[in-house]
Amino acid sequence: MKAQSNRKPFPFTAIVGQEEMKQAILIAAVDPRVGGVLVFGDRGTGKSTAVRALAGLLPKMPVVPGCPYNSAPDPAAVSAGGKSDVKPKMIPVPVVDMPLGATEDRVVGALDLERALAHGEKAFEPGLLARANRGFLYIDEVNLLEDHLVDLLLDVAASGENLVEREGLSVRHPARFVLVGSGNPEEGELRPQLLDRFGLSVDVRTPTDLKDRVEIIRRRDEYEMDEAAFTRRWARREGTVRRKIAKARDAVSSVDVPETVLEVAARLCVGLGTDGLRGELTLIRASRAHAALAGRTKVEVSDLRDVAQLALRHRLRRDPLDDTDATVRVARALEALDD
Amino acid sequence: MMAELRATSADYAALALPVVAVTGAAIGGVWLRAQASPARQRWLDSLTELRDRESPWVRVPASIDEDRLLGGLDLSATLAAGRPVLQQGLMPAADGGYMELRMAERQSAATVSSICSMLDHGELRLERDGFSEDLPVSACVIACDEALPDDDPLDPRLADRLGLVCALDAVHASLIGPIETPVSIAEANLGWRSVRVDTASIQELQRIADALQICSPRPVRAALHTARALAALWGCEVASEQSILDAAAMCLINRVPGALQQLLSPPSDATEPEPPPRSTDTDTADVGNDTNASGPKPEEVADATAAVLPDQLLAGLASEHARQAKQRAGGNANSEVVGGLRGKPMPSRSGLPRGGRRLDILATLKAAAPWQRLRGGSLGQLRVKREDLKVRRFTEQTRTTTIFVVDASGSAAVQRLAETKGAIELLLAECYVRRDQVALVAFRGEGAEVLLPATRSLVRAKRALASLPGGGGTPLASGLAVATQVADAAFKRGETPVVVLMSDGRGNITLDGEPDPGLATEQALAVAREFAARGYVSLAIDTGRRPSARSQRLADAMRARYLALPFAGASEVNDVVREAAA
Repeated sequence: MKAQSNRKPFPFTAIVGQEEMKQAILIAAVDPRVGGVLVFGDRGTGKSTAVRALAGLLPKMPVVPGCPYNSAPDPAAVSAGGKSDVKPKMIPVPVVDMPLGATEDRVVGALDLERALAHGEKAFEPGLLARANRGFLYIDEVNLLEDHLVDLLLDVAASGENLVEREGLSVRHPARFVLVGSGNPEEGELRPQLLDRFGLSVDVRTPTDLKDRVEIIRRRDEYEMDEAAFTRRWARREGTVRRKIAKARDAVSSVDVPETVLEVAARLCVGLGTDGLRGELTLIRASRAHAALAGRTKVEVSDLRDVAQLALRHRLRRDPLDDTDATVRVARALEALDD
Repeated sequence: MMAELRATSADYAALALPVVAVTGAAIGGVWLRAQASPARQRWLDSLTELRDRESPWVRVPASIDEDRLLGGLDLSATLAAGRPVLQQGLMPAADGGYMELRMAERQSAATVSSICSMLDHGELRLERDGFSEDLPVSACVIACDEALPDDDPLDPRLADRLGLVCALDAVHASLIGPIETPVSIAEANLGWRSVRVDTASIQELQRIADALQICSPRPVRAALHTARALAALWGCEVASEQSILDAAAMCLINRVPGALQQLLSPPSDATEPEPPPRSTDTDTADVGNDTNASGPKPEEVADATAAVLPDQLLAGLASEHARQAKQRAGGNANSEVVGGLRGKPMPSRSGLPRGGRRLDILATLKAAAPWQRLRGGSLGQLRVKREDLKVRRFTEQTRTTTIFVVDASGSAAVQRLAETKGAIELLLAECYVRRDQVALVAFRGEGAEVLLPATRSLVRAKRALASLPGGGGTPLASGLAVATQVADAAFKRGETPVVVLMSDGRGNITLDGEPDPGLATEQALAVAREFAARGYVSLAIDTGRRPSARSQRLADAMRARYLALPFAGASEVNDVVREAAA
């Protein structure tokens, strides 16, 4: 088993400002089908802090005990196997951190050498993709990831399963995860195919208000000087958000999307000329999660407006003769909706 | 007592030593800007003496590979044991101590990422060669940055996380050494975290950071730590104004190269804007503080710091800093070609040594080692299978050379030429930002000449451009022919040529220098087609009064992107150049 670090992550609710980033992460936490979050922006804006804080906000989920892929207990399968006494275990939704220096064998999984050597057994040792199943896979500096790993992730993210053909092994296992990436565009651009895989994209900027900036320093400083005391002080607010997520997760699938909202979504996407249906679908799903977070059972046009930037800004076609910022273009399209 | 800047940067370098020893990894590390020199050695030696003797000191050489830094399979131990054995990397070995990073500015992006991740999370997540471990690593990074002004600067991700900055290039070794502090390092080590810093001081530090255009909050946090450590070393329970000012100097002002030296000794050079003499400023601050002289009041720090940092100078520093930031932002992260046959080595990948790819013998042996018992290999005999083979990979930095081909003929009337020059100057600035090379070819009268061979010197390019005279016929074909030669030469050097033609497309002088518009046009198109065959990325900017079909035809023959001058912004040229680099 892996040794857990006993450092407490910086509380999500203690992050100053960056409302859009927090919103995107909450939406992804409520509905994994939204398709992941990309957080791109300036250094020191709390990108990776926010993602790591997410782990503490997620509810527990039932899994088959001992399953390396965190499989959900399937009542039918259990009874068919005649072992109805297998009790599902509750584990926190995994947030798996993929370090940049990871080698391919650890990402996809490989032959379990220990067992091969000790017992002559051909066994599969699952990798990070297996561990992230039904959870989140986080890649910091995703724009610096090596190409062959990017290809691999694209393939798995598209199919939802990991296909391993190596060292005489032939293994297929589910790998459905929410891809969360962060990075600084100054270090390098993201490949367009990978960009498209992310449901939501957030642009984070350094806050310009001196008061906010001082508050950032103050909280971070308090945290660094005494992690335990700081996290205790924020525990109540963290609890509130945790409950909000749990409630919204249960409710999201029953949130109703009225015809009028669908129409507005279609009009917005046509107006922006986004490629394919993916944008529209993400827009609807994100709106639904947004409504669920607000405790409503019906999506309103205001939900759609609130998430439009997140869902669409990275899907606009680049026009070489128009340097207008994507965010501005989406904002214009939103204004045009009123006319 | 008023807070004042110390006399020389040597004082700050000396002051940094006990601060690092007290805060250790909490400060992130030290950005040690210095060439290899006795002063730098002295500084490092002093720190090794000051630190807790139990703590490790690990030296990381320039361009270290990931296996060695993070850890990987131990070949001989694995062969001996018959099962995978992990060889500890240098980073986990530095836990609880110091990691000296040699030639930090040359370290690869991957190395920098690993170090940044360690500094952020206090652990190393190892997912390599079948090993999966979370190792606690908390180490203070001493980054020796030897970059000269023209080199690529230290990776900003790392610089951002190194709390203290020391510049030692103008410092004599004899001036550096540990200074006596009222409280011992061991004692300060226990108490520095409980030193109080009030909100007003935080505000003041943030204000200084803003003035210097330091956007990230990390340096300000480091300044707080530094102020605490200094206060603890001098036996204070609250960070004094002196400690805040010292911290600002070491963590913020020093971050902008040359800024601190400039503040300490106002330049005597007449061309530099003269900052107001410091003494007067301090006097004014003193007057303002006479009324509330008891105890350190944060407002006084604000005044004092504002006083020692003349606005004008700050503005100057800020713009310099912004320029550097921009220079970095252009980055060459995109212009790396991975998988090439030459360049910087990258981690090896599985594959067959074909097509010029070389076998990585060590990596191959490592891949085969854990299997030996299963494969029935015996001592001294290794069974290597096809799937074990690893090949070397390299990343190559491709430099772009932008070749400007400028029509300086009479038909490009004087004001058009001036406009063209203006446009080129803008583009030059962009090229400089991207650290591209620039060459200049001009054609007028009877032929074309290379005004400026490929260079990275912006000053030279500007000078060559300014002295470019106009007039005479338009030997367009010659201009293109010379440009093709220059592009070929760049290509042979392994660079990516990008040709930017700026002309109205009305060639009237033949390759032989004879006036014959008909033949000249034909020749120009022929040379253009020859150019197109090479497949270089190019851009034809029509400098004529209005867009003409003739220019368009020439652009088509060159297979260049066509733009008319009034619409040809710097961004389009950038797009083209970036396309070339991709």
